[in-house]
Amino acid sequence: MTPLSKSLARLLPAPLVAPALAALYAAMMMAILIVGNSGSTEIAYIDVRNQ
Amino acid sequence: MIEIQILLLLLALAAVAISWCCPASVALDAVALWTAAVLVALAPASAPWLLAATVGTPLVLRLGERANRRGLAAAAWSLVLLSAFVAARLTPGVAWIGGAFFTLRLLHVVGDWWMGRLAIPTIRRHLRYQLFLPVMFAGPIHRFETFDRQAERRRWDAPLFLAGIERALVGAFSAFVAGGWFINRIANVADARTKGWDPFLHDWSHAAIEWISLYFVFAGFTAIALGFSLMIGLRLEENFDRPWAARNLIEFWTRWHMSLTRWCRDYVFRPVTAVTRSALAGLAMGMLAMGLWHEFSIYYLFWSFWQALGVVLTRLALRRIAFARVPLAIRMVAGPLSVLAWLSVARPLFSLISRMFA
Repeated sequence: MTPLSKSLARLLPAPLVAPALAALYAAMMMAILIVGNSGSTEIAYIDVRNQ
Repeated sequence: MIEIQILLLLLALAAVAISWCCPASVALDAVALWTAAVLVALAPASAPWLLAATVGTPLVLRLGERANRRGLAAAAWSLVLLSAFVAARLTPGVAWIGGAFFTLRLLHVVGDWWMGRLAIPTIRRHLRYQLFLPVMFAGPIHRFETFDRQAERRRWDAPLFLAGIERALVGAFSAFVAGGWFINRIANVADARTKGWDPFLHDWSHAAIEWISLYFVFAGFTAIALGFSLMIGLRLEENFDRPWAARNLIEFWTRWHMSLTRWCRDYVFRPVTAVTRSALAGLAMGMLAMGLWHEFSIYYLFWSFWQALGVVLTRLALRRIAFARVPLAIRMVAGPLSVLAWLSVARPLFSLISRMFA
């Protein structure tokens, strides 16, 4: 069990855990694909410099 | 055009596939080879240096041991590594991937060998440790012993692999959606609403939102790195422990970018404190190292001083004020807010001082 599925198992009845986890993963992936490249990720901690 | 950070993440994901496509005995060597190829393609200037330093470190240490000049070898080689790092930082136009993290990992190997805590790694093991693409450009500054132990124990573990996928996905969501997009939108709204405010307060609110965004982006990138490492079969050191739950600045620095804080504690704070017999000198030098690691600038000199001052004041306050008597609910809210206020006031304060002297 992954950490998220453990958290969901505490909150939801057993039959709902897998669909809820799938929906959560899908929502996160959709959000990353839609807005992923729109925000700036240039911070000092990401050590890609002088490009 | 695809951003270099995203390209590097995709190439790091390819390293996961490479690690499981190759025979187990050479899987991490293949990842190291892949990392070297990526560096040569994307940062041709830093690649030869990184490779030379990785191969050169065990050789120099062996030379020092044979000549019975451990201190001299460690000091001279550390100076070479630091000089190269400084030169690369100060030379404009040099493409550089992971130089800051990589230099600290090398110094860790040299330092631990000199203190007798680490045997000289073989060149092959050192190459596998240093050339590990998932943690190359956003950390954590993992330790050689942990990596080597994990590499020895590495085997296929489906739950670990799935946990790694989830960690990387949550990390990507944190970095690109929460930090990169959502908080930036909040920052734009806050910027517009605070335009009429006093410049100091306007800058302060902006800096506070920047710190929150920084957390989501940096912790997100670290989570992706650790997720990819789990997918490869290695459980590396954590870099964050809920820093937003810190109730004071000292606690914050034990929860934020922990691998850097531990590095500064082990290789700057403790030696300087031992030599000078002054914890204050150790703290000042530790914070200075941490500040200059971020960037060589007057602002980060000021930042180092400000953080050291914050730690000293926190220690004094903890001694003199009975915080235990303050209701827990108030401590849980006021603590993190005061930490955020202290961290974020550094930039507007520096701007104010600069304006006064300009």
